[in-house]
Amino acid sequence: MAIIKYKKIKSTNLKAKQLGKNGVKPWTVVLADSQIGGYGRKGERWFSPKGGLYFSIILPKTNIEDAQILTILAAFVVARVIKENFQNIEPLIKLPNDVLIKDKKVCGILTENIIGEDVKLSVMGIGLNTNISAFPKELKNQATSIKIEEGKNISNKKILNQILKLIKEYFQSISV
Amino acid sequence: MKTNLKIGDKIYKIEILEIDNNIIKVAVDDEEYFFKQDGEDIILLEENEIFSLFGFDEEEKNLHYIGEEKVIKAPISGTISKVFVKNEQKIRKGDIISILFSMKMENEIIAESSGIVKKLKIKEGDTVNKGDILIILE
Repeated sequence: MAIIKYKKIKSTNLKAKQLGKNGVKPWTVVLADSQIGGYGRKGERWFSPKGGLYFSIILPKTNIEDAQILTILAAFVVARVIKENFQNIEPLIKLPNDVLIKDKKVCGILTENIIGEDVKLSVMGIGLNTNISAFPKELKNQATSIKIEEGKNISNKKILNQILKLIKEYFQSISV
Repeated sequence: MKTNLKIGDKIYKIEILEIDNNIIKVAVDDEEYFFKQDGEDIILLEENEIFSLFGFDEEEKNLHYIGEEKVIKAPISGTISKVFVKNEQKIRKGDIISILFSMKMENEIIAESSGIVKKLKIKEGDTVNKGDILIILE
């Protein structure tokens, strides 16, 4: 998978959609160290300071039902990767696409589709709170990070590679 | 709910969708049937009853049969969270018409043909079903 990395970007989903519309090939990943306009469902702001893991995947052409299944599977993938790397953490999946630790959100997944008579493009964005030390007051009771739970920094690169590998495997299994 | 039903050697695609006002739509392959719950009875709606329930007036009822009008239909069921066009606006192929929130995903609905918006049939907050007309173009 090709990974296009940005130090700072408005939103990895916005960039991935732009690239996808311009023909950039599937499984290209847009990765950012930070986002200034990261968003979740219904345009809600996603807190995206440096340290977290923010990326979007241009998915292969698919139908909308498979895009939905893959979004749900992505939540399982993230939870599994967290569990396998950090045995002290017990992630919980809040279907369809949130991952929580002790009732606080640690990951959000947003899939966006462009649809005419069929699905033209699907982009899956994942925001995972990895190395975030603190959250603003309004998010303190709703969000957490792996760093807060583990008490130390973790490798974004390692976590990203594991997540991407599993998502691609699951996509190939549901698309047969 | 979607499923396949095998009767004899034939397999039918079945979709059952609950719509407002105690209305259920049952699609068997490409045929759609609307049922209404009336007390303990489930009643098959006649075509003119379907039109009156969904608020089509006489003019729109005729439009339903006109194949030459260009229409943009909802490709999936969901809730309209944003509308980007208005009546008499010129749109081009590829323009975003609306954002449709469906299946916990955000879906940009784009125009597959150009034209002028003759009638915009949606607003933010509307629930639409797959196949519902969103825009009539001229």
